[in-house]
Amino acid sequence: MAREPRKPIQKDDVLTLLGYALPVLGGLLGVVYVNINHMDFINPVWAVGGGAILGWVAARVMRKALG
Amino acid sequence: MAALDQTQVKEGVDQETVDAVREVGTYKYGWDTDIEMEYAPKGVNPDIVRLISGKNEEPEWMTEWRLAAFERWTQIDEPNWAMVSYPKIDFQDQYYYARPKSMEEKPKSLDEVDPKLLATYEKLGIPLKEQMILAGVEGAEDMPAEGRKVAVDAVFDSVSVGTTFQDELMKHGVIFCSISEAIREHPELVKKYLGTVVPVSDNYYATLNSAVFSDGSFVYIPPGVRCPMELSTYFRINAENTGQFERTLIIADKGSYVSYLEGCTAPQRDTAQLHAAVVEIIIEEDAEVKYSTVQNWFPGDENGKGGIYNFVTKRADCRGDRSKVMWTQVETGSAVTWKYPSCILRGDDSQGEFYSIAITNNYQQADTGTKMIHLGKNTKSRIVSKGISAGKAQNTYRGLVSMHPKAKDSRNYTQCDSLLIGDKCGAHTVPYIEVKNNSSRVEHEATTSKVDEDQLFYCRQRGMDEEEAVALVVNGFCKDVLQALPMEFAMEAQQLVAISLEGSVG
Repeated sequence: MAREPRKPIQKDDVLTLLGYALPVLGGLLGVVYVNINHMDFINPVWAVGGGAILGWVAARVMRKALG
Repeated sequence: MAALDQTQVKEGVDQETVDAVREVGTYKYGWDTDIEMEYAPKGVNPDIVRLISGKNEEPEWMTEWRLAAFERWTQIDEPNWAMVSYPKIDFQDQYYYARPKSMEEKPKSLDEVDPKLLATYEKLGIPLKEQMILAGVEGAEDMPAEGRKVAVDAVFDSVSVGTTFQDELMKHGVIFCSISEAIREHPELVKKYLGTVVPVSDNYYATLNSAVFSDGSFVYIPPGVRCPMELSTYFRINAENTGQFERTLIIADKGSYVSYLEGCTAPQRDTAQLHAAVVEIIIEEDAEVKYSTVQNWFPGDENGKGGIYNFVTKRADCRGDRSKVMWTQVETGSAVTWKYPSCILRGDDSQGEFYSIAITNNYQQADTGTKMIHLGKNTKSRIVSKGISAGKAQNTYRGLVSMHPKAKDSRNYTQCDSLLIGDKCGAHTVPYIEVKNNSSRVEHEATTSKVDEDQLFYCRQRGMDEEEAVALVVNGFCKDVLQALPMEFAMEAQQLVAISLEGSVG
């Protein structure tokens, strides 16, 4: 049986992925920020949580903007 | 080691192997240089103070400053509040000035330099290119050198033998020289800053140092300059029955940056020797200074005989807004350590950090810590102290965090961990916290633990012997501090941690 040709990555795929990737990336950036600026005495929980929420918001905005 | 010396070496075993085995568990830098020395008469009195001042060709105001310090020293008592005990020091039964005779006049070529002095540097692991500069050979500075990154000021007993890369640093406006040279060449800077951070009558040993300091290092970083290389000082005590009293003065002007390293070693002797140093750091607006120390003085033998009495006063004054200072220290040597590098956070938004590892083995005693004095608004400080005790050693952390009324919204975080190896050693923690306003926050965490048997078992079942396993656990325990060290020191410090604990297990 012949295999179906692979579908090219669609715009929807990218937009769906953004919704997951950006919050994770935001959380990771929060960890990096806490480690680099250790004299700011930021609670890591807030930094990771804040980063994740900012990532989620960014993903929402991008999805809206890109239709 | 005596037993090993008497052991007959089997046929076929080469000398290198025999030497390597003999070195295990011994102090690596315990040898001395048989070099012709010039001494001042024993003891300390106004004549000795004048003699030291005269040897350094100092101006009159400096001699007067020293004499005033000596006068003050005779009026104050030796402190006894530290948790260390040692036989009473006879301050009149030691030399306060000793220099190699070959350093009477600066040598002009390598041929003129005492070969023993050169061999000393080679043995201490200072590269050959630098060896010529350290020996004070004129013109050696212009020779190309691969991968040079650290300028060195080498202090041998009471004199600075040489300072490397001075010309290159001068191109950036950085002054790096011995303090005796600075007093002669830059008196306006020395006069303005000397004794302003550690006053003459600050404490017993600082006052003694003010009277009899023979040499040390001087650094001035002009405004807006990032020092192009790391600066360092290497202190070597060689002469017997001689104290070393060096003074370091670092001035970081507005917006400048410098990383400074300090190392020290001394020969292995049965009699204790005194080392009383003072380090003053002035940090102006937006400037940053990192000061790292690997202290490896002779710690005394396994029975507590000999070693260096290390009484040091180190203080940084963050005078400008947004200024930063970072002290990092690895204390593995000396029989008695009495040392509290401090930060005066005077400027608003200034920051002070202190990272310390203090390892004591056999009969070593360490009473060390820091002082964070918050005076400016929104100032921040962080203290991470790791103390490791083994054998019959005593290790004390003594720290002060003081938030003054004007230090609004200031923060401090203190982490103070002690690790015990064996059942005859001691770890003590003495934190002082003073908060005189309602908006500041101070956090303090402290732990005391023994090396975890499970961790050792886990390591040993993977083929490590017990000493390797302990070294691995201790290195993990010290990770936070080792990471704060510059690359040049980090590897050395990691090995030193393992070596210092050799013989502590079993």
